[in-house]
Amino acid sequence: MSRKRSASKWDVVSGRTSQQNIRFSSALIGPPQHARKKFWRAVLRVRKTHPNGNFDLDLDLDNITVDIIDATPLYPPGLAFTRLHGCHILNWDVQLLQPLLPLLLVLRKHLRFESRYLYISSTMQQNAVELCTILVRDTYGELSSRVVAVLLEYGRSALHTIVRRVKIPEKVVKQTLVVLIQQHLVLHYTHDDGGRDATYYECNWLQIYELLHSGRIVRTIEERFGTDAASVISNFLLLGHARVSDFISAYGTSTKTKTNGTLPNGTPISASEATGTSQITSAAQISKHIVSLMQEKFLIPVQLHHMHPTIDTENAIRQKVTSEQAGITAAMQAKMKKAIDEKVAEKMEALSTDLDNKNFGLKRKSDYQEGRARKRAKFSSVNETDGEEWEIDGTVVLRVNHSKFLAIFRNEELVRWVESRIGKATSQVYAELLKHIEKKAISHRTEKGLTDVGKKYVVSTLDIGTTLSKAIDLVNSIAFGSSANGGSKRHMANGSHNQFGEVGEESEGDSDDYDLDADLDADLDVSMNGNHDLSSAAQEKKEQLQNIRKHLSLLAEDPNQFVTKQEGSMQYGGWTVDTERLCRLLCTRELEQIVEERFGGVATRLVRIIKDRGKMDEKGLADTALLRQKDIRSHLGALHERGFIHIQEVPKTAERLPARTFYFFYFDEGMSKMAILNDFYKAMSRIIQRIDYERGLNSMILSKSERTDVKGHEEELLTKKELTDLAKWKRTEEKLLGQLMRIDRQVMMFRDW
Amino acid sequence: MSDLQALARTVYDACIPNHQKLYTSNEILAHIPKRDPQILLDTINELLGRGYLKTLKQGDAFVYRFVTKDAVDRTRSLTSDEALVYQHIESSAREGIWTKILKTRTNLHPTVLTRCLKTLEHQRYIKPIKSVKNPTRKIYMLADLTPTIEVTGGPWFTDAELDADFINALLVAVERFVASRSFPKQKPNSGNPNAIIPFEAGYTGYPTLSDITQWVKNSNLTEVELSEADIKALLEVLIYDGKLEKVIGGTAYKAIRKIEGAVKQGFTEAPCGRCPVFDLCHEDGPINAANCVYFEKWLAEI
Repeated sequence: MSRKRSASKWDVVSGRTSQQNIRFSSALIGPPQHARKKFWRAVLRVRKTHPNGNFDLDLDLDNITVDIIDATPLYPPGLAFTRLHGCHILNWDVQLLQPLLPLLLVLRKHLRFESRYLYISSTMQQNAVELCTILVRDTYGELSSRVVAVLLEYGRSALHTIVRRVKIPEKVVKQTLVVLIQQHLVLHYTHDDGGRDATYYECNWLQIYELLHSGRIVRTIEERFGTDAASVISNFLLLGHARVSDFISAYGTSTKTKTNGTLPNGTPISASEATGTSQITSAAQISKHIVSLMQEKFLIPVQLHHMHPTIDTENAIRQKVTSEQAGITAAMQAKMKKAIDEKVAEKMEALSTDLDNKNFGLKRKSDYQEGRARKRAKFSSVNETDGEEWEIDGTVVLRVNHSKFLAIFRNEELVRWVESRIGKATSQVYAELLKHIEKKAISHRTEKGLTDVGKKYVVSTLDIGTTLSKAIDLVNSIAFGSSANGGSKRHMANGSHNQFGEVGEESEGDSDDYDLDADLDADLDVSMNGNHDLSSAAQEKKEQLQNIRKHLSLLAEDPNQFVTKQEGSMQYGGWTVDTERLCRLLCTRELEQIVEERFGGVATRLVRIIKDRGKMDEKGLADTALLRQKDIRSHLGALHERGFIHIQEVPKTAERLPARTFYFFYFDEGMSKMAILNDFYKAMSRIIQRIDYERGLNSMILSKSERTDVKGHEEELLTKKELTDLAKWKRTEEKLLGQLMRIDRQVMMFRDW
Repeated sequence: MSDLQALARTVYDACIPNHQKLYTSNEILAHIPKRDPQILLDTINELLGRGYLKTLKQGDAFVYRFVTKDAVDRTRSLTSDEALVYQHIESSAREGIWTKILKTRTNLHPTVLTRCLKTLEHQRYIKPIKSVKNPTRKIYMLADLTPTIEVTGGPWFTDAELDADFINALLVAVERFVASRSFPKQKPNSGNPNAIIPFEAGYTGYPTLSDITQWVKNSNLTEVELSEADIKALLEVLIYDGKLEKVIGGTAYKAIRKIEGAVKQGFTEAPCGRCPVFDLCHEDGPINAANCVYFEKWLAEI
């Protein structure tokens, strides 16, 4: 009763009814008849099991509407207004959705919604919508951002719906959509909806977020392939995707104008502008760059399924698979479900396996030539391997492979982590190891983060040895000490290069490495005996490999287990990296660091204890933390308020009196991450808005400095005050952009890796 | 003085040097002439009546304890109410007894009880103590006893209060000790003081729990006796603080490398990560990015 009353109080205040509409567009729910039946069942079950589940169902042909009457009176109606449209959940906050979660879970189970869908929708929070809209506005202008905003807010929509909501003529909307689709920011899918086709558009917000990465991407390519390749990639970034022949023919003539025209100055991706300066003239040069970028999977051919929402692709495959199994009774169908699921997953995977082929999208150069050349290629055995010439297929449409870059950024972060934990030299060895894995593994972005099955790829010490820079001081970066404390110093003083091996063995005494080392030395001794005049180069090589192995053992022995040793055939040992686990640890570490800097050391201690021990009450916490209860109370309050820890109430009596209730604190990593991600998005939006504001303040001086006659002659043409203002603006922008990128790093850590 | 009294006195004198001991009736019988059970019974009754002996139950059998003269004099000078209260407090031994429980057990009127406690305390027979578990309770125990660890809370507590300064000092000391053993000593001529290099893989010289306990014991850091369990609690806290970690299968401890001037992560350094009104901030709201005072301040710091 009291609940009802409080709900009606809100009614008066807000002038709304407490009915919340949840709408499901039938477009998504597979074959309609079938789905509806299941939906009924799902909702009825929720009504039975859910304490607040007082649902009213209303079925019509196009929409299934669920009214939740009095379901969320705990929250004011304005807040609780949750819309599920095409199963996009927008504008909700974590707490608010909790009463609905059972419903969603049942829906997912019964309607076979792909779990990622729920996940992505659920991470698509209001702050992310705001950020995405700002990003699109800064890069592609007001018009695009309005369309994107509508798509983000209302979810999947048909063209006429968009037109109605944006209030822009259909023709303009269409043009905008074309641009957005070209950039992969909007996905589309055409359903065969009972004889007539219905096309729906959906915003790919993760791709919008990728706009922030342009600067990083261009810089990475520049470091690896030089400025020319960087300009190629930055143009692909600008274009979204492009046919190779068009790209090459347009290059050189229009590069510069395009760069400046599309990008407004000073936007977050302005970094890509800087690299567009060098001129590439010959088409051969460009195609050479493109080929090497393709072989390393920085550029990939666009496939049809890139343009469609994953869920639709999966639904289509599922429908096909199911129809192949026609003529099965309902009972059998249940049994078959698992088999079908497996088949669908298999086919989904097959879509991206094309990429595993190194030369996918390329063709052999010899194919182009006359039969004579082909024959020659056939006969020469040398050409069969990597030395083969590959040429680009002019008709292929290419795009930038963002997952690859995410993997690279992740590896950089892991290397930084190693550097802070162990040391510079070890981190350089680690970087080399990761580079080898990255070349072999193809990263895919999945619901759980990036998967590049790093565990599968074994990198041998030899591989690292061949590519590792000789300039790295491997010897003096590890101390070789016996277990006695004083001993270490002595060893270090004496531990010259020659005695190195023996010192290492002595101190490694009881570790596993000992045997391997001995074996290794024996091997090498044998080879030495067989080949008496062992050159000093080979000797050096041997030492280098041993040293590398010492660093890798250090990495393997770390509590975080940066690498895993693979016992087996490989000489000098093989190594794998479990990136998924490491990223989880990395993320946890970052979370703790945020807690530390925001709430202080005591709060971090508490969070770690709660995480380690599970649910704990205040007293237990105080005892473990060796702190007074009254001292930790305020910390717990602050942490709870910001969603880092949560409370479970366990009443001792039926009355649920606060005084007679246990309060257990617990830590839910998923929820904390989500809460903080939401904060990240908001902070990023604010930074961009602040940049806009600062630019507005300095608009006079900026427009003056950008005049063609002033540019390059600032010193002469601007007054002293103007110059200092300009410098100050530049510093301000730099600081804000730097901050933006640092938060971006955290977003990747929490969401993508 | 009757024979019985004399006999009782001899038995008492014979047994009192050993007054902590619990006597069975057979043991007392050894002091009785002719080991006559009837005389034994009379003697015990005599001693009990005068308060020199106490009956206790051990399992099913009765055992006896002799009471020292002081204690007997003490109780004798008390009123019957006071004696009752004293008895209950005495029976609680080192645990102490809560006044509320005392009240229900003795069935005395509150004012009477308070008066009794006051006199007893005044005469220094009993003392009030503070319990860690229930700091608000008034608990009494005999004046000559020391409270148990459950009551005092162990080495971390001083006057039933967690001694934060003491703990923090110990934490810092232990951390320093472990850190000094976790990394090789710096070469005096090495250029970069931040370049702490690690020990090689398989190094076994990291301090173990017993090493650390021993060090604390020998270091004169504290008068308080600290057991391995106490030190372990300290180490746990240091691990939760992210200062130490367990190595070599959890048997030894190692300090986590600290980088001086390490880069802070982005979020909390920007104004938004520390903003007290972050939830109220909205593009069109009264608090927004354009009029934000925190941004203003932060940008001025360039």
